Amino acid sequence: MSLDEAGAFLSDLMRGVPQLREGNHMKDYELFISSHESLTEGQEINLTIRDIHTLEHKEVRAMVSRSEDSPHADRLWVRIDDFGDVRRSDKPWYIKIVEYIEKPVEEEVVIRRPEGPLSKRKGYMLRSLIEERGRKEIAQKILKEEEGKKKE
Amino acid sequence: MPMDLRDFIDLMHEHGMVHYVDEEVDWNLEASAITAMCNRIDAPRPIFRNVKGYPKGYSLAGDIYAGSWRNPWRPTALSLGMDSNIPYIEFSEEIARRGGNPIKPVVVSYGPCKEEIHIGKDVDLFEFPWPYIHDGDGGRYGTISAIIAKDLDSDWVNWACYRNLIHSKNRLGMSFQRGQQTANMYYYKYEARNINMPCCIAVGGDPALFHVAAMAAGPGVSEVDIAGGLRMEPIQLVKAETNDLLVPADAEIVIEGEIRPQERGYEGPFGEYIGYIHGPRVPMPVLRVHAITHRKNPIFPFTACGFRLDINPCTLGTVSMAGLYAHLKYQRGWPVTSVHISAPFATNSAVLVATEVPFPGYIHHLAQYIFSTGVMAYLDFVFIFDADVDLTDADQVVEEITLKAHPSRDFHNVGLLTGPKSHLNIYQTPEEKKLGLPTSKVYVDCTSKKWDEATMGPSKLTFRTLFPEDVRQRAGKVIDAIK
Repeated sequence: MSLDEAGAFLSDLMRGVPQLREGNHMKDYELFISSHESLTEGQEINLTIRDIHTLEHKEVRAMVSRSEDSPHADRLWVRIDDFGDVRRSDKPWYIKIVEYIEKPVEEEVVIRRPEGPLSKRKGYMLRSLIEERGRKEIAQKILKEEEGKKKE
Repeated sequence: MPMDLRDFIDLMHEHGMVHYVDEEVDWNLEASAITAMCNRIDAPRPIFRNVKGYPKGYSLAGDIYAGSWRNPWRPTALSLGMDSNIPYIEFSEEIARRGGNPIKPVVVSYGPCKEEIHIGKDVDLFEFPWPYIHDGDGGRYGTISAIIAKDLDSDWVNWACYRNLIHSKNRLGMSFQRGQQTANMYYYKYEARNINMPCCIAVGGDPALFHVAAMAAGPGVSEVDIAGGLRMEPIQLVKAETNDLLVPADAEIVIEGEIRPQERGYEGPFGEYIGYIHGPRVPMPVLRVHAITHRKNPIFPFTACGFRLDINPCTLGTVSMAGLYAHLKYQRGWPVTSVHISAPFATNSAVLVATEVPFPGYIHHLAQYIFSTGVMAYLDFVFIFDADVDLTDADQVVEEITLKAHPSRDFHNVGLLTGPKSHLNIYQTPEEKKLGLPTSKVYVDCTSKKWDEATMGPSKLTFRTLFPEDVRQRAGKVIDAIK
């Protein structure tokens, strides 16, 4: 066990995660819910879980169970966030992730601002101003239409 | 003279107000725990230069704007080039003077914030050591930043400070509450017209930018101009990479992106400044991050929120209240002598005002006017004191409330205020929070009352008023012998 792993292990122990058995490659996730009753066993449901080591959120379709018997299942630690106590529950649920449904990063359309001095970007600025004016005109038109409908 | 976050930390170090921590510290609760303890015992604030899992040089700066219990405004004063021992009244006056003389920013072609540029697929928010601040928080949070967005119908660009939840590599949750200006821009303009809202988040840079982002300037007022006023020279801005917004040239990190209409992600819980962590989680807008630019070896400031002496009473409670003081005194002409949010007992829940009382009924007018200002989205109570009360002395404030406010006549519940209301107070029920229901506003008149001249009224117990000169002298001699 490396020093980093030992640190993570101790950190987990401090936060109430049971000792990981050697050779057990279960992952640990957390989930905020309003009550235990809001989790449905035995059917695929969409959840936003988080990796307890990085705290990165992941949108998944998954099956959850209170029983450890589910094959290839990972641990799911539940926090009730209704109003008061947000501490992690003592006993985990178990989760089998069917699919990650988060949109991949590649889908993002990123328009990079043109490089170069301001004088060479005049065309870009003009275009962006025209686009902005166009958007405003469309928005004003929609507003007028909505006001017209309300008057009718 | 210009100052960025690094200059400020150096200055704090010269004054013995920060301590460099070179041992490895975990971003996961450990950095926050150490910072919270420093806040409690009033120790120098920690700069963590060895954060677990991150390259050496990537630093976390814990609550560097938080002062001491008696002088919460001290780091803020220092960050604006004032004497660190400046009394609160003089600090308020100086903020009023400088803020009343705004200076337009200048646009430069390059800044240190462009030393590293990541765009599109290269964006990864987890490249930075966002701290996990409280066990039970909805995730890792950014807490000290300036969120920059432009009004859709005018040239006004708003700079604001809201907490940010890191959802994933390129998604960041915005805590947009009703009444907040950038939130209003998004909900009532961009989203209402189905238009994406370009947005940038600047971490670090000139401390004045954070102070103005945290203060409640009016709609249409340029915070960056006020920051120039506070700095007494123009703030340097540089164009963002993927939109037309201008960002601080010397920021440590700049996050660029857009907030799309009708896109939400669950936000919270978070241990807030009031000292409690609680839900419910609510759906909040999400920033899709398109670019991150940063300095080499960025320093990431954060606050261990909720341990009373965090940045909230020290920035909102000082700079923002100095702004309210300037407004009441110099724009409205009310004879107020001080406005403050007390760090020890009334963090962001009550505003304290000291004033002369020029005519009967004045206290009611003053309270009603304060209720109409933007800060009352967060505050529900106004306590009004005599002009000579030191509002920074919590013991004196409590004494004035309990001794001068008549239980029958001086506690006034003026009913529900229909303005926007923050959902952070813990006395609101989950239903009130979810529906954004308003709360009543209360003011308490703690001023000395006009006594019936025939009875002379009560007299404050002091040695000077109660004991004749000869008795005081004899008592003094005995005391000297005892000592």
